[in-house]
Amino acid sequence: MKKTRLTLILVSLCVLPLPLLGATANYAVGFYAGIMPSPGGDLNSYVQIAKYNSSNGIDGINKSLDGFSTSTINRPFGVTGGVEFKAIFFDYYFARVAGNYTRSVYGGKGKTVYDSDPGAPFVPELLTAKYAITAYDIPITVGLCIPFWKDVKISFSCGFAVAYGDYTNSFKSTSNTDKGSFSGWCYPLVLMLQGEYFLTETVSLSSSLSYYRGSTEILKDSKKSDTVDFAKIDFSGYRINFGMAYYFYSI
Amino acid sequence: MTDGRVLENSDAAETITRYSITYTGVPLFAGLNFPVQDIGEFYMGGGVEYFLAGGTISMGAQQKDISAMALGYGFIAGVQLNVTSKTRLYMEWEYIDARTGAIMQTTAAAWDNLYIDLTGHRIMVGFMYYVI
Repeated sequence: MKKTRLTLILVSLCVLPLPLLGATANYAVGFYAGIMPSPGGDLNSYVQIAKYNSSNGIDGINKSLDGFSTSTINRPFGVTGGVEFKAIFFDYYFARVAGNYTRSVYGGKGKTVYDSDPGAPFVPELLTAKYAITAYDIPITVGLCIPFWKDVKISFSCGFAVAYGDYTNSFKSTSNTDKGSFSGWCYPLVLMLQGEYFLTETVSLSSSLSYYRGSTEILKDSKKSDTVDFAKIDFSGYRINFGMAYYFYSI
Repeated sequence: MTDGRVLENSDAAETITRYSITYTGVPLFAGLNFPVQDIGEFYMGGGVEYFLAGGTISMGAQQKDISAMALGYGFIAGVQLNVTSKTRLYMEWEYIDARTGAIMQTTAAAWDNLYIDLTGHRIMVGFMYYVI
């Protein structure tokens, strides 16, 4: 009995939106650009733990000491952008596929100090550190879309992305030089909130907020001339984008 | 303001036992507003926030005052509901990613190593009065 009631409720919930069957499907293409704070997360790697006194990557690498001219190494600030294809079915159901490019453009470099000879008495040395990350991803999400009259649509969707990343780091001091380069794939989880404001019946301005969660497995440094390094590429983080979309086809 | 006590330190060399940090943030965001007829609006934006932080760190019997600044990046997303023609009730989700540089020595090594992580989510509820 309970099962029958539950089935009836679920079927009713699915059927509720059907009076709006008039617009069966709408398809749109769009482009957008925006920002991503902290692409790559803390950019931790084995060499930073073993040689440069940081157990949490770029966050812990910062040290300052009298007599050394250091500058804060901030997590990188990234820009992101891409193109999208989306479909809205029966006014309420939303599906989207896109292609994104993200890269760090600011931060991620500076000067710090480290103990160049951990076995001996304290031997601090100035260290120049640089971090950079580039990512490409194809997110595929499905979800719900709420239209507010003909002016505004707000949609929430979730899914996954096929993501490829390229992370490089370099550490240079008088007695040590290390460079790392890592490339890898993974499938991060994607959540997305998007708002659209229609300028005409077919053209909309959009803003979107997306959250990625996922990282590659541990990757081996492809530069073989120095200490072999190991790191993950972390795609986790928020991205906010602004763009335009054109609804080119309705059934 | 964040206040806490370290009960079990994972790093034996780290001697912090208690901390109390207060910060002021000045955010600047730009984005899009989505009006929903005469009910209110939904908005999203990205931007920067400048932080001034201060506080006290206790390491055993020793107490040290700290001060630091940081620039962070992030976004806001929120809704505003019209209450009267000039006042609106709003609820806003803000996320900012920001860390200070090294500001204090907490280990046996002679350098400053402690940084303050100001990264996090903030949920704000309030009233907005539109002067113009």
